[in-house]
Amino acid sequence: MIDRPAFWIVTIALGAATYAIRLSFLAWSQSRTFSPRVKRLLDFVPVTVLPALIAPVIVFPAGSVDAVDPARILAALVALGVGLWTKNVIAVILSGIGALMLANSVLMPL
Amino acid sequence: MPSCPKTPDNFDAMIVNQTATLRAGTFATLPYQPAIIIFGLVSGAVMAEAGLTLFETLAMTVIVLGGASQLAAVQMLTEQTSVAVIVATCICINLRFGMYSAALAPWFSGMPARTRLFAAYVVHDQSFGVALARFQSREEDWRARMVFFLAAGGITALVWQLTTGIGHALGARIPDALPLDFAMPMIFIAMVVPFLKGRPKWLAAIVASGAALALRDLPLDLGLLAATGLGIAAGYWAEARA
Repeated sequence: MIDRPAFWIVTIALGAATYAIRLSFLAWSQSRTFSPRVKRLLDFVPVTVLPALIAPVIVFPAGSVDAVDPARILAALVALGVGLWTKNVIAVILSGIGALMLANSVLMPL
Repeated sequence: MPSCPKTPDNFDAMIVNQTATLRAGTFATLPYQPAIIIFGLVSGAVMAEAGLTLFETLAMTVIVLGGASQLAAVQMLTEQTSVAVIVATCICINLRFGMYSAALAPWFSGMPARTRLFAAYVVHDQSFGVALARFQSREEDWRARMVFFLAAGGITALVWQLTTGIGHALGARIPDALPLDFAMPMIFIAMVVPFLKGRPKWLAAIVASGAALALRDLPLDLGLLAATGLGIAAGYWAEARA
């Protein structure tokens, strides 16, 4: 059972902190500019955060700590290849899920 | 003396353009919405199962607006974890929004402070990915970027909030078959593709992925931040050397 005061304290504190995090650099840069070097560093944010977020989710499926799932890795690589080739978001999602279902049905009997 | 800004001569054309930008921002997120909807439904069902009321679920979704951190918070609340630990852990999960804030900031140069207060609320994974890809691929002033960003971020936030509420109402009736938990990683792959240009970017992505796998057991979700830092360092080094 969730303790009600605890729930509201967490929600409000986390909400305020998360908003402050989101606002941080947008507010900071209101009257300041980033140096060229910092801008070059920031250019690497999307290519590092997004892969780092999903790599563990892909390789280690929910609920398992150490069991690597080769079908999911394979499907993710297929999706990445399709994405680089077609630049189409829907193609990425469908090919990834399709490849996973295919790989699971092929690998399952092994 | 500060004067009232004149209505530009091409005012009508600007309005038309902003409408087109508004539509572009909304449409850019459309391919991602099915995965967001699934994630929202499942999250709402999880929150219902944990014993939250519909009002509490919607309040949390509107106030926090961060799916992963909300699910972690609810999980820890049911385990009677101390409030301080829950908040600290979930803040760490959401620290990536600070990196998005920094990466977006240079593109919003000229944007007034009050507008930034609104834009900040919708800084999340999808708005960041979709908007930054757009900003890098075309010349626009901050107004057009703001319209695009608010449209992309707002529609995604709204869809996530509504589907979380629907998921709460449907509860256990949502089927948990199909590899649905795989849809979320797929949309991140689709989001990263436009940015993977040139060797330094690839190196950064590979280092960050490898480090995230190696460091995934670090407490407080700090593996993500460490992996990102290592990836950025590797990419920057490769670019400087080239």
